[in-house]
Amino acid sequence: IQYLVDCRQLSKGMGNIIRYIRLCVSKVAPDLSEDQSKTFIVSKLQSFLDDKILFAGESISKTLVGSINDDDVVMTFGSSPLIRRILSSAAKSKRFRLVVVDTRPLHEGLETLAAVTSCISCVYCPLSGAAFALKDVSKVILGASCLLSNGSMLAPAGTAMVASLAKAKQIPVIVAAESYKFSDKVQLDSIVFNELGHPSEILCFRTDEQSEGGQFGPQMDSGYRGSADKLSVAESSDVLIDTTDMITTPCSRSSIKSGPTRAPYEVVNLRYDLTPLANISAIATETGLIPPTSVPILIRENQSE
Amino acid sequence: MPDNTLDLFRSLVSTQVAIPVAAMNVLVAKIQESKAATWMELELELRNAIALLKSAQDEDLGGRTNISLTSGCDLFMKYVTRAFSMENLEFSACKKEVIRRGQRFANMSLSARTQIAAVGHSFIQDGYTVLIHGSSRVVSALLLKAAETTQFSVIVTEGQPGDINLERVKPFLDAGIPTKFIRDSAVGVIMEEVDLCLVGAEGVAENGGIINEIGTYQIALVANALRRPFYVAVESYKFSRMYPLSQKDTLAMTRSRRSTTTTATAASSSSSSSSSSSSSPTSSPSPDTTTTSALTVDLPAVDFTPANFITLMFTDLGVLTPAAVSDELIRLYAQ
Repeated sequence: IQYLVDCRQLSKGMGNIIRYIRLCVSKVAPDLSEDQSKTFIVSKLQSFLDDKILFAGESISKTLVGSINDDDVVMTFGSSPLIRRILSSAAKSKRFRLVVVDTRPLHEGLETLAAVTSCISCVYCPLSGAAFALKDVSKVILGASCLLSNGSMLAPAGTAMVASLAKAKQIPVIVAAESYKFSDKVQLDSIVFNELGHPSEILCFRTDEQSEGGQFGPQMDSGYRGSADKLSVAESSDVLIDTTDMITTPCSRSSIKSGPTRAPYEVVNLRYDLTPLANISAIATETGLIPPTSVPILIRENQSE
Repeated sequence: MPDNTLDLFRSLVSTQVAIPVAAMNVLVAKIQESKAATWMELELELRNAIALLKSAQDEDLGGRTNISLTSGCDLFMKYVTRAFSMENLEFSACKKEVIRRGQRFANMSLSARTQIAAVGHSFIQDGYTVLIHGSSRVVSALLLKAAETTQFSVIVTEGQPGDINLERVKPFLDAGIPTKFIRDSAVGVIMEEVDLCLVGAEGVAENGGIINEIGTYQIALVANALRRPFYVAVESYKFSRMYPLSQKDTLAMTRSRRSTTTTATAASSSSSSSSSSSSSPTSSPSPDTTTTSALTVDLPAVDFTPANFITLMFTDLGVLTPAAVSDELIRLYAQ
């Protein structure tokens, strides 16, 4: 588990899964041999995978395909396997258009585009253009990293903006999330618990410098970018200094080039943000559509199983 | 057998009992007279009966949509089949248990109106002006109960099909409640005199919003803008798993839109009054008219009021916030 944590800081959903693994391990009968125990645990994990991830994805897909009507314009942000699956299965039976909103530094929306552009007519726009793109949109479908007990949702940075823009225009916002992403934690704002990405991701303005062997600390993002193969794990002594080579704006160059001391500003590359309850219209999970206020109720039901 | 179901249903509805309660009584009767020997058979018979009931025509439903019928039947099935999976008794004992549960559910639903009146009437205080909309018998029961102990006045909206409906206001007048009639378009004007709004519902969506007679949404919007509380009095068997995201979704789900197309002619003989079901073809123009484009008349029967406009709901389970609806449904459906 420590290895997993070293590779990538655990999201809440992953935390839930690890808790489940621990529970399985504790449930192993003491008289089983080591091989038998391993088989037992592996089979439990396999059924978790099938049930809570794969099958859940299917039933969420079905629910959302039912919600999408012909001639709808659907907006989505970034990318997630679940969203891609929903969109491709919806494209088989419904006629709709898609607006993909994307943001630096990860440009995850390109993944969504790649997956569905062959079957859906798409529009791609940056986050700064989302308010304008919302003009024609009839519903917004978002993916989540974690759903908290107070009904709010943690999702890749930028999601909260899309949700609040949509809410301002009274456009329904539907969040697709499997039930393993439900957490009994409560968070009131985005800063309290978040993940920092590498600052070079946002400071680097020239993509060719990025691929020229930029040095990234252990907290590198997990391969959404095309140049993943060129990444290398390097020491992260003073991260800010390493980025001096990549800064190209004149003002920053002059102030930072002054040797191995701290840069005059902090670079904060937040990965997640928090969408409050009021901006979410519905959550699609395995059990169908539920209002965001029902997250703790589902957690209670799942725990009592 | 099929004929028997609908006849029994109709005879029960005519006794002024709520439609879903009538349906539940029909289903209990069906279980009692069933000759099934296994659970699967019995369940199949029940499902067939429910399908028949759901296909009941508008006339049988007294002008309402079949949402409450659908949700009532579905909840009945859930409640009744719960018993079955738990016991390991032989079939006849199980059947008795099912009948007992079915009757209990039907009776609970029947007494829902009195229970709602009991929890809700104290929200009306002396000197209040209450605005009501729609023809809910639950609301009437609540107001009559309140009238026993409180002095208040009622403002009744026009509603459908329009104009003064003395039948509807007779119970209030008989009880000595000062009653005022206004047209739907006057709700904005009158709202400043109103202390609380009270409506019933034909169905309650999973997100806590309600489906009710057309005009409810408008009243909720006005009440919200002028900060007046908006209460809904509804039985818990009307909670359904519908989740409309917009008005269009609601009308699609309830199949309730009624619109016709007419050609505006000089002799407006073909003008529509609220005719039934979906768009009928354009009537052929009379020979002496100049070509005019067809006028579409759109008369949806229900609308959807989202949960954020509803202050509280008076139900037979107590006074609930709209968010609690989903709680109830998850508890019932997740077992």
